[in-house]
Amino acid sequence: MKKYDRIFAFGCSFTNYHWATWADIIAYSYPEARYYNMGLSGAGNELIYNRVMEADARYNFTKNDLVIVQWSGVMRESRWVNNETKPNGGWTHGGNVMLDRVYFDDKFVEKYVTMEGFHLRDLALVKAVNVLLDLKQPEHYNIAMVGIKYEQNFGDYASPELVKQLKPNYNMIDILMQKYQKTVKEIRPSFYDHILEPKRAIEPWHRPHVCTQREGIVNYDWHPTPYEHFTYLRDILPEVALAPDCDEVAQAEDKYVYDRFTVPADKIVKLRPGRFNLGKCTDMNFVKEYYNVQVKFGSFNPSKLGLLTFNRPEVIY
Amino acid sequence: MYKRFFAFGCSVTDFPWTTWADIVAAAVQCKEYYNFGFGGCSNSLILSRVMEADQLYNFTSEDLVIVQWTSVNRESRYLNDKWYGVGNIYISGKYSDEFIEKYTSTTDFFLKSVVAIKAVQGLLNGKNVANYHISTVPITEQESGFSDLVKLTDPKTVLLAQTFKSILEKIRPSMYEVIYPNGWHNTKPRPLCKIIGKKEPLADTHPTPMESYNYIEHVLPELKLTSEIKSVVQAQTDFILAPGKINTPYQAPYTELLPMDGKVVRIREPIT
Repeated sequence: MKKYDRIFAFGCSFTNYHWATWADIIAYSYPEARYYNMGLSGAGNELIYNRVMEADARYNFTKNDLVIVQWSGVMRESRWVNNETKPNGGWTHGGNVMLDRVYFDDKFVEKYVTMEGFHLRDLALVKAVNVLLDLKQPEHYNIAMVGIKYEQNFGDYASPELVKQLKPNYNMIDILMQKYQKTVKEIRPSFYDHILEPKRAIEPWHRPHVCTQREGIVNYDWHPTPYEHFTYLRDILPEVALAPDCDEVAQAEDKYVYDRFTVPADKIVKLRPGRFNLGKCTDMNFVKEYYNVQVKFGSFNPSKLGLLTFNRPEVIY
Repeated sequence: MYKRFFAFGCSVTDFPWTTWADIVAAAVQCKEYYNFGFGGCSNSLILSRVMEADQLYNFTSEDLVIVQWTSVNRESRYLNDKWYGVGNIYISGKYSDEFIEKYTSTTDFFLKSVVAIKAVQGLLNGKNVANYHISTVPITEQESGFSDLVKLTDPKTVLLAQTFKSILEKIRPSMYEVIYPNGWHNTKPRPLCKIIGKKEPLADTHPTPMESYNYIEHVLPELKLTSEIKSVVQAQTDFILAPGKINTPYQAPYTELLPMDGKVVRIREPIT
């Protein structure tokens, strides 16, 4: 297998999550490489681009590095703020601005957001990152949570009613997509297209659960599970060879994730019938525990624990 | 000899009277001159326009690209089918106090600016395009109202400035340092301009044609400026600075054009 000096992973929660992601699986396969996971949950493409640029300014990518950028949803906005939401300064990273009500509100969306403006911004940024990576020549790939073109969908996508309020100029978006065709082609098929959409089509859904921290509202978690991450890499990024036991480890870890991140039926009170919502968890200690768990790839298997040579992922901020 | 010249920047790049970009275009006399200056724009928008221009025109080693980076505290958004740039967000009066409090920080603007500069330098160097970088003000300083500049001092900004030192070093001395030694408003004489909605004319702080000429001569000695250009620029400057003259520069070109044989294109909106 090829050796890398360093592995850099950029993206959103599809890159850095409670459980192992594609980035952790690659890092597991190259235990000698120093591993930098710069994924940040809810990150938009502007934040991802900023982190790639800043990482290169700090660490100076070389031909011996592997750099993988996972692009996120286009309707996200990230800003470095220094206010009551981030008293010590930090990025806003709450996902789609139409849904994020921690950092943004309806007034902001109505006044300052256009879908074509976000496409205009993000296509230039994806190009900028690829220009840098082509220039510095680390082995590099672009993958994605969803397709770069915003469409009616689920997951990161807002309801059709919210989208309609934006009055998107789809004609302009199509022209931009055409204009940046070469850049768009650099991005491999997304997790949603390759893994999650087909699963969504088959009900009943079999997913781990996610709880909101404050209210304990239980939903299906559509973040890819470790085995889905493994499948994605195997199918979409065959150039990056994985450790021979990855399939087995990912399967075992998947089972652990389902065990650990499933709220037992007897702890859920139904609120209302809903496709995505399962109800409310009655045990807040259980909810609290959800966020204390970090499942790291390979750690489920006691025989491997002593062999792991993971460097702790380094984050920029 | 360059085939094409591309200029990027804010209003000091594309203004009703002659700018540094027009002077460079006249000096290099290439077949095509593209001016992507956009009044009030941010450095992030400049990045976006450079990337877009490359998509459309495919920069080559026969081109000259000069980017004029603007002051950091700016926000540009694409709204109602056009770019919306208001200059310094903290003094423009176009964004509410609530917006400024909730969504802005000088660190954010600085970070996005230095990253944009790095991205653009990467593109141009990667394509072997002759490129130069100039600026209105030093990137590590911000406009504080209409007075002098203030050094950005928060720890994150200082750290970033250090991290991106090699990128920032490629920017030639700023206009502020070279042609406004006494600050924006204390550098005299300034042209008087009639402003829509204002009763009294205001002193305009954009560089006069001659100030732009002096700036380019000082920071880009690689480009040979001719005496013919200088005399036209001097005449233009005399025209706007004439005693008692109230300028009404609402539409370009306000002054006589510089001698330029090639095609001139000014692009203000996305190329769609």
